[in-house]
Amino acid sequence: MIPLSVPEQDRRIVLRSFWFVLSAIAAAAISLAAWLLHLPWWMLGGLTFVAAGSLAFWNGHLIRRLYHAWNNRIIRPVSNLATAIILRVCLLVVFAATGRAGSRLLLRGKFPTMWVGRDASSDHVGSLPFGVHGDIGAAPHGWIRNYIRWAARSGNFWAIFLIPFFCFLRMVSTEEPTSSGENIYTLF
Amino acid sequence: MTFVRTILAALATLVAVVLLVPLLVLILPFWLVSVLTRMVARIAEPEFLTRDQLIQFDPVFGWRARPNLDTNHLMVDLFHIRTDNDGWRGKRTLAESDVVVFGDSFAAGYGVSDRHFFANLPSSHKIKSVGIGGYSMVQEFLWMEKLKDSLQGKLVIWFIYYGNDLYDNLMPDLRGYRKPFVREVKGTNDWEIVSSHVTPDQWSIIFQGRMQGQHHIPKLGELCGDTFLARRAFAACEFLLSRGKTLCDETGAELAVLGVPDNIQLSSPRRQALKAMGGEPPGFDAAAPDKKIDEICSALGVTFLAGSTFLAPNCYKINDCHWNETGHRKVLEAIEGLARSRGSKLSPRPVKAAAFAEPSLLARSTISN
Repeated sequence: MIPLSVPEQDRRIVLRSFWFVLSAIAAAAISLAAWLLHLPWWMLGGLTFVAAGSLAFWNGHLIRRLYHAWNNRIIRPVSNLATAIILRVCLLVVFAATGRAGSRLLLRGKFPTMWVGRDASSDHVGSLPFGVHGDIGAAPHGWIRNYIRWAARSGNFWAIFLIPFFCFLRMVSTEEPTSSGENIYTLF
Repeated sequence: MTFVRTILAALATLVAVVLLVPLLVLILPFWLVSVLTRMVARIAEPEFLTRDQLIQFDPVFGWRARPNLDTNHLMVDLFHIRTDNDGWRGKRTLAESDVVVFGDSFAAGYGVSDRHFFANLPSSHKIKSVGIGGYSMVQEFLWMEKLKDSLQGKLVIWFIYYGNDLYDNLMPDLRGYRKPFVREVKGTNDWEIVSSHVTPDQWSIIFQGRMQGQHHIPKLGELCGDTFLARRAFAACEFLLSRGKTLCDETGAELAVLGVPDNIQLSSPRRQALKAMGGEPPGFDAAAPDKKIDEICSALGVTFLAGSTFLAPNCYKINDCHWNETGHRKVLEAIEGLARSRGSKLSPRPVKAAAFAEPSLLARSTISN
């Protein structure tokens, strides 16, 4: 899922893409307004796009500043607010409703504790609940399948319904997906 | 109970998603900007090569530039790069040039596209650059040796980047790439070039920080002080410069040295940071590399021009150690100054004095008689 923020790497091509997208949105808005006012909407929209878009070539410094302002001044506060709302709705609606079904913790009789012995066959101090056995690095990819598998295995079918919230949280996040950037650096 | 819990969760999720729909509608335009920006950039971005794809193994030099490239390279930003049959940048051939620059990534013009590269800018002199990223003075000298027949009558300018060249002359690898280096000959004051360890295999004695090049600026800090490393590094530098001078004399070329400072040496607060990173070495002086190399060149009768006399922080890229377009224009001016003063025994024209450089370092011509 692509995050809400634009990429941290402010390469020229990314800055220009960002500005063209904003120019296109502005042009579409102007065109719509012109159409409603029975004005030559295509001409006004086209002029807006050309005028705004050309700024990317004239003043790269300004575009860079606007690009970072977009991420820092607009997207981060929006992301924080949206994340807080999603988490609250999830907690107050889904967890509150699911909690009505009672606790699944079995801490009596045969299992008085949830502590488990260390898995000596691996270096892990505990098993990863949703991870792929034996390969931590592979866990981030295809996590939904592993998650569903875990939910079915552990009897937590209800947890499958949390997946839309995970997706929403990822959508409103500002975290960049981890990339293999080691090879882009050059020698001195 | 599991069934009831699952049904409750399903119903609650449905309600929650309905509650979140207005929020998602509000978020959607912002998210679309992010998606479309990435999509347009991905479509419009040209193909580019990574570091490994720009170079190839060479049993003598450790690595060399790949010939006949016409591609882009990503270093902070994309820049267009074209190489000739030998792997060097620049539109002129070695044979037709009257100035030959030997060096590392600075000589290779890393960070700017071909049209901004100093060797391609309009000039009254024909400049050929022989250099590739990561080279130390040892590899550069070996190239001088290999190309000596083509250097006759030319001005040879040797770029020495203080950020890593002086230290890497002593090291058997750079980021795991094996390369020739210099070491002292046991029991003598002489030095020798060692390349017997150069193979395609990665150098195994390396740690993460060195792999990523994080040690270079702290080492520059040490080189700016009166340290054991500085004494060894400048002795090795002297050895290489004297070999270069002898070679140029033998071939009828004229050697000049251009000291390339790191951006960190060019402003007062950064010099303090450099001192701290170098472990507060005794006698710290950010201009020490300029002064030491000036002394060496003076003794050898080689022209020396300190880059700190005409390069300012605005000549360097942000988040990268290389020159930007302004830096390349300044370097071309400096090269033209060196070329003009060639043979006339006049000092090359100082462009601008750096805040910390002494007047004697501004520009000095010590062409041997």
